[in-house]
Amino acid sequence: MEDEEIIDLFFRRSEQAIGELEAKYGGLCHSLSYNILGNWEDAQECVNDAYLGTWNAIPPEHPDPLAAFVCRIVRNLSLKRYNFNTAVKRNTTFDIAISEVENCIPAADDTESRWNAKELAREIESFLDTQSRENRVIFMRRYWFADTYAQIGELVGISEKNVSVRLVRLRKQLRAFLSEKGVLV
Amino acid sequence: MNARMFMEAMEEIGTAYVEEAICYKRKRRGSLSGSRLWRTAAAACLAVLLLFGAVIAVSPQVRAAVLGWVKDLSMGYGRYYFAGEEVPQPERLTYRITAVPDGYVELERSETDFAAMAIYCEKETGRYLNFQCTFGEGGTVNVSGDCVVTPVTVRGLPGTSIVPRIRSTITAWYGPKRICSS
Repeated sequence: MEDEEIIDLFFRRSEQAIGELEAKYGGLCHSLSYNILGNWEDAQECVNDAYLGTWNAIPPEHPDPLAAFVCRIVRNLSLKRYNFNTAVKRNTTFDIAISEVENCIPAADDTESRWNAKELAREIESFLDTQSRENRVIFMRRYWFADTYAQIGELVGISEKNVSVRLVRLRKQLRAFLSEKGVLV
Repeated sequence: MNARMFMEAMEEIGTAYVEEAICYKRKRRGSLSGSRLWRTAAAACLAVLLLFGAVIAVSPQVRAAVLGWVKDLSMGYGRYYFAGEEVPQPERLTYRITAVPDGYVELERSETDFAAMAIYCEKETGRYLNFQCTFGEGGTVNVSGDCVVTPVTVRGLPGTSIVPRIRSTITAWYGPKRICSS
């Protein structure tokens, strides 16, 4: 079913919309949530909450594209759950992805007054615009979807080792880019 | 908190980047593009040539077959080139006429380092037998018309007989280093 038809079902308040959403993007949402939380039960809960959030948001929202809209809700809810769980253990793919970028961004004390998340996001977008499509996808799949190297390799069609090497280069380039922009002091 | 700040920033990343990552379909690597097809074909040709060269280098039979006779036809003449294996032979190979038909007597004879010639004549009919032998080293013999080429042995030495298909009085044969005709 096309996205537009699913959105139409939401607008008509048809419960079939949730079923169609699950059928089309369920795998993606569950994978995203699991990569962050490392727990299928928590991931299932977050995805269900995300569907509820989507149900409440549409209407009046008319998202385009629908997948990114739902994924953003799933990610936000998963991160909230992650923050709640963090005190207990840190061993998910997301933990590893976070640890990789420790050195890319300066300490909050240095920059918080001048840079907020939105401004930093615009700089990261500028950086991504300088990259090839494949590199952008690798970067986003790692640091937005928290995919494993194996998953990214499968998606892009390269080896895990190649993914690892490319991410190392991307982080170095990002650090240099942010340094030029004055984010890093 | 550096990483935390980064992750918060990632939450604000534009939808277009998220959508691109969701919809990304990798390029098909299985199909052969034009340039890749040519590269593959060139590599295959190179592999075949190398294999062929290796076989020629290793096998004397194959080498002899490939480097054997090469026939070049031009202007009604057939030119045969030979570049096969060199067979050891005596320093000097001498051909002698040991018998001629009854009634023939020797009319003329000459012999040099490069050629020998003898003419016999039958006085009653006026027929001639003309024997010539040229000691050629170039590996080339000229014979007019289409010829039958067969391997022969002359005094225990390998050679090649070249006989024109058209009825002719000339027969030529080629030994390892000499060309003879009669």
